[in-house]
Amino acid sequence: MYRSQRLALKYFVAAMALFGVMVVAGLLSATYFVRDGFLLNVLDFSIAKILHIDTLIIWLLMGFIGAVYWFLPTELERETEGIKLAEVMFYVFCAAVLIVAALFVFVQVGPGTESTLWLINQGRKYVEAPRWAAIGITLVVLVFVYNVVGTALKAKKVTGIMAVLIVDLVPLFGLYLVAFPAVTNMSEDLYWWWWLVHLWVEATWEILIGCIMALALMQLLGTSRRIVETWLYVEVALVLGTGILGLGHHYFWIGTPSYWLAIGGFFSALEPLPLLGMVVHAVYDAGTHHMKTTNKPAFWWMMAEAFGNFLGGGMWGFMMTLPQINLFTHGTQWTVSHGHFAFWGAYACGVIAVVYIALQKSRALDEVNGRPWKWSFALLNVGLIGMVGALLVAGMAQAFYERAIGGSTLQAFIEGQSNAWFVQGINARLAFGFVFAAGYAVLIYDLLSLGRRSAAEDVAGKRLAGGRA
Amino acid sequence: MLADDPAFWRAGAISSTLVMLVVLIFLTADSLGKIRAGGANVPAYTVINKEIRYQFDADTNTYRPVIGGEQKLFGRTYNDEEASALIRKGKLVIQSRACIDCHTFFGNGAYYAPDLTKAWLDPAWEQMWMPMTQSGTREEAIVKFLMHPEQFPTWSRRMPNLKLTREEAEAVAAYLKWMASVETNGFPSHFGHIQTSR
Amino acid sequence: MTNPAEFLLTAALLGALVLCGGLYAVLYAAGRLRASPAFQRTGYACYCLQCAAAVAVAAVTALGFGWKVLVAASVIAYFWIPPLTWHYLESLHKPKEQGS
Repeated sequence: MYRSQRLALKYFVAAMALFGVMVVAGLLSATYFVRDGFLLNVLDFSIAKILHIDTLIIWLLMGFIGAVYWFLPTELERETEGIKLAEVMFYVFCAAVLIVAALFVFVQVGPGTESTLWLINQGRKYVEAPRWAAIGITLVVLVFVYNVVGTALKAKKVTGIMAVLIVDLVPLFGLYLVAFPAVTNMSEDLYWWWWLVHLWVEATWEILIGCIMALALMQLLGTSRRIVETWLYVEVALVLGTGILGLGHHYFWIGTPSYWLAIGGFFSALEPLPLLGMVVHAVYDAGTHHMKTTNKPAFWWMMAEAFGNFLGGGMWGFMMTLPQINLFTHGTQWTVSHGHFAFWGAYACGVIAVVYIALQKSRALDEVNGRPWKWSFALLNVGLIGMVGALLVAGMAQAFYERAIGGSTLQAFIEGQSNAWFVQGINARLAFGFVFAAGYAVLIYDLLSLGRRSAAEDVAGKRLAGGRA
Repeated sequence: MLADDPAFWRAGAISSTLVMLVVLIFLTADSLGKIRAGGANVPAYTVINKEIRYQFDADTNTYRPVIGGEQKLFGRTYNDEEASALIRKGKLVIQSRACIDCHTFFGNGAYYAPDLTKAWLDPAWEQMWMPMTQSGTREEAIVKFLMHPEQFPTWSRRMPNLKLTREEAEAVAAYLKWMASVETNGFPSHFGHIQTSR
Repeated sequence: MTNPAEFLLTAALLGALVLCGGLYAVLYAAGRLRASPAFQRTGYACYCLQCAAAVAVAAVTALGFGWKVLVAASVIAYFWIPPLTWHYLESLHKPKEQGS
């Protein structure tokens, strides 16, 4: 095994640990809605929420970085260039994450000065990490870029997937710089902030996970390079063709000109179409390769990715994205429902699939199967769909009573939040959150014990005769 | 077949991305001109010296902010420089206290507390908080509430005390007033006006 | 929107529209995979439902005319995407299987 792949495994461990922090912070965040005065002035909702969404970003990012470190040496048939530096940066990354988490829990906020933004909290959604930590993340990403580009240069070989990946790393790094300035004008601030959030999440990350999935497909199903590369190009064309100006659906209400209503709505209506093609592709792969795969969990998580992306991104997105509807749904629990479903479908499922692929190789298992992964797959997906459904009900009630009828004032907000549908929805969300958390626990058990369980426990976790590679 | 050739799709990917990026750059240049403070959609910071309303506009069929006559803030008028400094301070306070991780601004943020887009115009200030805080003006009520939210609760879900100084609370009040003047294409719909179901 | 309840109905119709399109795609692909006319027929039934949702969007919602045209046009695209994708996948995989 390459050192790069050992580093990848470390990234996966960190990602899965942060996934757990995200789940706990999510359960905590959900509790504030159910119990008024919960931890008031001790650990306020805002802090739990920051932990929940920031760990989401970081664990997915770590999963992506890990996945690239995993596939890079096999793709280019050599050790990753600058691997020593990459190993150091992994610990820098982890240390920064731990210190920032401690800062958020124990210091939380500061006075309204620039130094608070440098040292404690930047108070911008998703990029709350103080500037010193943001610099750390920038360095990690820079080293990552150097690793990928340097290895490609040394190998004197650029495959199609690698070319897409390298080009994609430019915006991955460049857009993150939006995390730094504190713009006074909220309209301008949000204008650029959406470049970071939308163009990262709905463009750069989509391409990144597309590259990772292409590499995974070759390894998992033995699909030929020509096919996955063609598909990757199709995906890039469609995702960026619709996604770049799909940015417009975030520019409806932030002070930007009204032409964004037409542009954002139009491109949003196109966004489900490429996802439809991916669903057909998933069914095709399922039919032609299902019986051959030796890694059932990875395969099923990749299927979940295709369907989750279509439902969470496509269906949930289109439901609320036309301006006339978004006027009422924007900024309600409806948005939360969409966010949970889309992140899960588009990214989380894919990262879990890659972790299973890597574990099969690193533990030299000729087959990955057994009962635990099925339980975790079912519990996680049922929990997630339950949460999303419950939040949709709550969001519909909120959009209706607070926005459409009440006129969005404090009184209207209170009436929306007190409505029986909203309350039941938000309670059910917490209940399904526990189902999801149980699924997470089983997932971790499975990942830890895969191939180490005795045959009696698990008939399928067989080791190769040769042992570890 | 042409579509079987990866090169065809590679060219498609590159060209569609480039075309969209170029369009985005042009739109961004135009939008940034309109949303700078003092641009067509976003008033200059000295708008805090004016009265701000939110009214139905029959031409666009939406609610739009209307800038009225002089209306002092904290009993005084701010010049360009003072207004900019105050709004700057307000933004720093809003970021340093992570307001956006409970509230929303223009509908963006967390969803645990009310949207602040037009919060300056919320009738609750006059109906509830001015009497509760024994304040003569809306801005004074905002300052007192922000400094001691625990003393003036209006609902069982309460705002934590984020230890704002008087100076910081004034800056936030000014920020909310300025933000209410931004043209948001009608969001939030009919703020402050209850619509009855027919 | 003149009536507050209307946006909920519109949203539900648009959601149903995409969902039916997805079901059609899955059933169409499954039908091709197993060469099962029953699957394909159910798929086409889902597509008919999608068309019905589009008609309902056009008839009963307060969306602007342009948006209704866009919805109608996208429903046409939904019809063609599964067969085109399938055809494309098959032609892409063929040379490889002959070669191996």
